[in-house]
Amino acid sequence: MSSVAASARTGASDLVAALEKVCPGRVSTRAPDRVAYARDLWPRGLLGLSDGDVAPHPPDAVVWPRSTDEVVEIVRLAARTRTPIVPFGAGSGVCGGALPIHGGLVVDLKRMRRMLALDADAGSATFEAGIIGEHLEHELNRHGLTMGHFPSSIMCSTYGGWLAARSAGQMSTRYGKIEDMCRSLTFVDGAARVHQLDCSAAGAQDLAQTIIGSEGTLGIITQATCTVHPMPEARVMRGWSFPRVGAGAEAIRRLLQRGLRPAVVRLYDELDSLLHRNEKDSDDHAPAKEPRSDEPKSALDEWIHAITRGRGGIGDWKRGAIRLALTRPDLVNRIGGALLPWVQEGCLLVVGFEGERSLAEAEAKAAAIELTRAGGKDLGPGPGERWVKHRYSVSFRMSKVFDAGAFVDTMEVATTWDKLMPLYHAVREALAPHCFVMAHFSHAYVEGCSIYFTFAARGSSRADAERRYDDIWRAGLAATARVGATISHHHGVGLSKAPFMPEEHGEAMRLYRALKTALDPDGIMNPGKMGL
Amino acid sequence: MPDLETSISDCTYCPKLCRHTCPVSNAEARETVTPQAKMSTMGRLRVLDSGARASTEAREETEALYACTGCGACGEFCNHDIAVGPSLVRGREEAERDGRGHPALRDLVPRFEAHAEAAAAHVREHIPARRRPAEAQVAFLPGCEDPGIASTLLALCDRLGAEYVAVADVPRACGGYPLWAAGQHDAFRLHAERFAKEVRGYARLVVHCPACAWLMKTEYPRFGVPLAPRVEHTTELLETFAERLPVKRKRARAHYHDPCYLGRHQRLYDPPRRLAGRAVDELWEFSRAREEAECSGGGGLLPVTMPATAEAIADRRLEEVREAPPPDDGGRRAVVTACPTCARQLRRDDVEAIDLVALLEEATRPEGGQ
Amino acid sequence: MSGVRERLERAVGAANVVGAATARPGASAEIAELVRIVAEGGGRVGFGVDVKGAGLSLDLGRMVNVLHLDQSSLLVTAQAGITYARLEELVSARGMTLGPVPPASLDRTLGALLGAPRPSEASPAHGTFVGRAAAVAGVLPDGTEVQTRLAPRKATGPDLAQALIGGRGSLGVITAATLRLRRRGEVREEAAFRFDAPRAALSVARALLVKGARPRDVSVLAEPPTLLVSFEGPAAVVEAERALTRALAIGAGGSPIPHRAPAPWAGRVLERALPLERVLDVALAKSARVVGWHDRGAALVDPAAPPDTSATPTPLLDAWKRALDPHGTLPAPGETPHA
Repeated sequence: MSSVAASARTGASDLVAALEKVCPGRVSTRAPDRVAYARDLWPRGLLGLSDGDVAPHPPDAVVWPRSTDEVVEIVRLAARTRTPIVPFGAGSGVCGGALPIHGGLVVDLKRMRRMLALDADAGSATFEAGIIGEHLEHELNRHGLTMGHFPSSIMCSTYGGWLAARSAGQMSTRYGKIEDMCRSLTFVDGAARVHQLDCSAAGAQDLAQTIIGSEGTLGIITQATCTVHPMPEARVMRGWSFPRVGAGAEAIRRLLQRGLRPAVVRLYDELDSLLHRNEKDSDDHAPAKEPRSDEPKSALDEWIHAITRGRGGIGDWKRGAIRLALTRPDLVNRIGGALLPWVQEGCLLVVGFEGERSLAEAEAKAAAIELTRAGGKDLGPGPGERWVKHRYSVSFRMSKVFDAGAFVDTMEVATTWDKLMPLYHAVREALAPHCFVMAHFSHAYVEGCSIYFTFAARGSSRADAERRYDDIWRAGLAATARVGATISHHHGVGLSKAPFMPEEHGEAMRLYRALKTALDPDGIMNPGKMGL
Repeated sequence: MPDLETSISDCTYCPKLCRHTCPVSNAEARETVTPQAKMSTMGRLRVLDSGARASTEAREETEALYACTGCGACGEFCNHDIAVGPSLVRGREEAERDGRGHPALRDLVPRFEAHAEAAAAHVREHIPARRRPAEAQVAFLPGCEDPGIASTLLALCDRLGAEYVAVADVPRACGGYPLWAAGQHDAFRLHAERFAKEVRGYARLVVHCPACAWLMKTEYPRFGVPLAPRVEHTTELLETFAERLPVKRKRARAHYHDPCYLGRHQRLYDPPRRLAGRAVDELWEFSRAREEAECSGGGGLLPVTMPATAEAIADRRLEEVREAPPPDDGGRRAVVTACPTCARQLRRDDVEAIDLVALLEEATRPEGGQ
Repeated sequence: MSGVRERLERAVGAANVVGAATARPGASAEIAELVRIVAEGGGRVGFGVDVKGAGLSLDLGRMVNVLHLDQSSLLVTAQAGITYARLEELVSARGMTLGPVPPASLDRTLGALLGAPRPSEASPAHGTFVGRAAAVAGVLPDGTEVQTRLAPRKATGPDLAQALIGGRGSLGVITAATLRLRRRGEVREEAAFRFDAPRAALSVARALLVKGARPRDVSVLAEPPTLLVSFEGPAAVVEAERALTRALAIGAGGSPIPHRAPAPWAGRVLERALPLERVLDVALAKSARVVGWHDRGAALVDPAAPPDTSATPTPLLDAWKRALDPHGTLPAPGETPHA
């Protein structure tokens, strides 16, 4: 902690004094604040925590503006002194995008959290960028509206962060990703100029789309207008089973290409389905508790226990199978395809429609016919409704995995239907020697789909864990690039995927660099990120 | 609730799914005071050796342990069942032991004693001796925030034909919440033991301060101090009379605010509503009510350690009250609550915050009477 | 310029260099070469019009090939010179569609539709026409060929395709694009309603969009105030959307009438993009219509009025242009008239 205090940038005190005039009482250089703003949710960053390596890259100061005008002044002061700026929502990014790796100033937007305008008839709402997702949705719900944007981080992420990262919610197939919802935005660029950009004016260049997804490298988004919808009259959820994951994916393709617009489409591969089965229908306030036996468990057993916790009925042999999967991932990942269908009941597909009752029910009916025709077995509403109930629960399991000395992370990629199963197999094969990997398919489109891989592994030491972690990502994204898929569907690039940006964009990176030169001539906006 | 070590570890690696509920981190918009940051700070402090724990940096970090009202909203969203408030109180105890307690609480013990004694003196001054015997079926403890409520409660009980309700006669009219919340646990245990002796003549102890009522129900036993009387909150006593209240007049409209220590911590959501509904025509709910009710900022000694933040928390809670249209009779907007600390926190020039007991007394007062 | 002409002829073949300075490339690589040649000579590139200064006019009339048709992903990749009509004909033969555009846009090339989009080129079911582009290929002002990553959606930074889409050639020349197709729906139906005033018709159209209906086409005519809706899709869904439309229309005082498509307009006419927030406030001339509805806006079109050629200055675009094209090889933003 004394290292944090000592690492303060020289000459920073003048800047801090100037910032105090702009944001009185809302500037901090105190060590506890600098430590708190030195992390996001990048799993690699968590590997150092147990070592006591709490804040390898603290900022020099944190400031909390209350208005776009204050943001302009802050940026002007930072540009003058060439101080790096990292815009900060709620720090839920999983790519290290909000880490102040070059120190400087963190600009926390969360004091700017008001709803500025609401037009229910036109389906539009304007909010300041720093509002936490759950608060935004709650505010809209009070007016009988919803944004329809439900990332698993909704409780711990901000509206501005969504736009900066091109986030997706669990119902993106119906409501779109955040970039589809945005109608206009206001942002302050790296030269302290304010831009007001419109998405909804068809017939003109949609320049807002150049700021959306820029992860703080071009400027600070201060407010935006998005589409909002009446809260759905009806929600129809259903579960289906497919013998193999490829059959399930094909069924989704046919569903979407028939012109149906489900809100939720989620297909779990064989391994993910195995863990999903027997999900106990427990009350949200009192999750199923398993008695803690006094028998000492190995860290690995603790972990297996943790990831299967709350799933009553999962037998010892299944735990054994999982143990095998974790200790010999290469074996299981190879024979799993052959072995698992033998011992379990297929791949789970959750499909849900919502909206006007007549429309949702008509679509659900048409979907049921299509999915049956595609070889699906109707499991009834149960699995679908259970998914809704526990849709944010998975994030809690992270703690137990890291507690047990292992790590878990996710890789979410996307491509067109023709390359989808090749992508699935390529990434699994690339990852199999390194870790246990399972996947689900969601965020489906007429032309393709996203695959969400969850992988877990352990290292013998912190250095070993970090090496494994990096190897896994390199292997996974190389496989992704070989297939021709995109390296990220909605988590973004940040720091962790920056090395893969040249491969992703090719010569088009010049366009990004030109934007950067144009909007951030002094290079102060979130330097070191996005491969710029 | 898992043990402290497990809680700290679970919080440290968690993606902070509860942070949207924390009144302190919402009011300050500061990552340093999210439940997760507070718990992992405590974790870091615990593993330091005693030398490092005495450093300036450690003292600075310790401040985060006090940035909590104990409201328990985070626990409603926690799948790990972690109780952050009580965990941080243990952190405060450790801080006191190390001599790095919060500077604003340096003289808390003597201040507490003085304050609790003054409340007791107020009771002795205003309540006739015969209404505060050493033994009684039902004894009412008004608490140190608003001891005058004792007279109001007695007047109300008399109108209900419940003249047997007495006022507890104790030298320090407080269950000791400030001592517990400050981590002064030796002082707290001492106070609790004395208090238990002083109230052993009562069969039922009706406690008006929800925090102290919770403390007596939950923490007293954990500190090894059983209480002879059955402990209830005021609303548990009055609930049985709800339908029989001789209501003479009603207010047009008021918001009902769930105190954290009455709602979430004791699950008493309906009794106060039933009672308030008898005295108010339109009892309005906050959009976040019951389990989701937002804190008024009064708990956890926050008004002492972080007064500006405590006020900002209350202002945030009042946003919906201020958004609502003003009453037709031109009066102020009103919030009713069954906690004197919440009432104090929510009281403003433009908003009347009224204690439930005072509301019921006002509603049942005979015409032209006192 | 003569040295340049020789180089141009070498790049695309003598037969494809026409008149004073018009070149007719056949492939993206040729366009890259052409732009490089002009850039090195300090000249300017334009599109089929008087190019001021020592300039080259690009005519993409030879670039009409379909490069790839992916029937499992419903994607078609074609060169920028192909017309909507030709491409739609090709995909329709296989039971697919690009989505509707107004008759006046049928003969526009892909390069024009994506580079100089019109507000009327949108529909509820398919969104804006530019939104149909899943990937785009182009040539930058210095002759570099670029191609955006093909994926349904991405989170890999800014949407770099926006340099080309809507740019009217100022940041890059569109050479090809991959477009999202749909399968033709099983059922097609139409409905029409007459109202007392346009405002009622507009509010019903907007309510349909806000409530999540996605019909194939929606048009509102000012005089007489009429709402026209076309539906396409699975039978049960079309039926439900029709019923919803009818309920909303009658609820707003509308009465059903036989559906009759209005007379198409030809060439360029006044078009203005309207966000849904302002769609009810617009004053409609008698001959005006509101078409091109999608989830974020609609288009006011007046066949009787001349097009609006004014351009709104955009500092961001100007700055991007300066960074990407410091020598001004490609046209300035807003310089190229709509094709």
